[in-house]
Amino acid sequence: MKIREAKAHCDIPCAVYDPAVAQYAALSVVRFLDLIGEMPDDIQSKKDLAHLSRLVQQKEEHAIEVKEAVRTIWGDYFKEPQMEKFPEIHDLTHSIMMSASKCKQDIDRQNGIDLVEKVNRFAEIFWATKDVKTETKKSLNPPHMDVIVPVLSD
Amino acid sequence: MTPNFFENDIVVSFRYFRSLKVNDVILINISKIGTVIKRIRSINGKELSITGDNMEYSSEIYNKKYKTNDVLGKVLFKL
Repeated sequence: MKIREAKAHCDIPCAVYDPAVAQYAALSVVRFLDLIGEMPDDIQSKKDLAHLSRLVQQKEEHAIEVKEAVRTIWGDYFKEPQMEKFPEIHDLTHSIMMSASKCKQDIDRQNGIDLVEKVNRFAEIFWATKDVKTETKKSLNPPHMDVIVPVLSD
Repeated sequence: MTPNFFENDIVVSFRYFRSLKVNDVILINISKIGTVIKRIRSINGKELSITGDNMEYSSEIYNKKYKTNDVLGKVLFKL
């Protein structure tokens, strides 16, 4: 007799939801916006063109990553009790989607800053639903922006 | 599927079932994921949707419709 394996699929290993994925993807978007901004306006060489293409592509991918990570937490983790406690989560999530799209459409750094701030607020709410305290830390990597992180106990 | 099914549980399923109904526990083949054990949430003719027993967690596969042909077996009992 053959015993076959069946899973009981969740999106990710059960209970492992963390907005850090979205936060670091949002920081990366700003980083790519900065690198794009540092490139000359009149690109002459194929090498520079290839580099710019790569930066734009990575900016796109990380903006999409922000959207996917936030959508997953909003759609799968947030339920009635969390929504009642933080009714702003719906507007905030939608606003993050719009900001991430702006980051894809444009190369204005301010769009990236807005995205990071909104995702930070999303993270703050997420941890608050778990009664986990948060603190603001400066990211060790460029663009060295503030990120809201959980206060980890020993 | 907790609290009714846990990791490494062994279940007996029957492939040649006559009919399926809401709340039946089934083994179903999901594209890109493989065989999963789930409960039927709704069924309409040859189309069904599934859910899990653990209400604390969710999955995108709960939002999709599946064909009854995708069902590999109906779970009869747990050993």
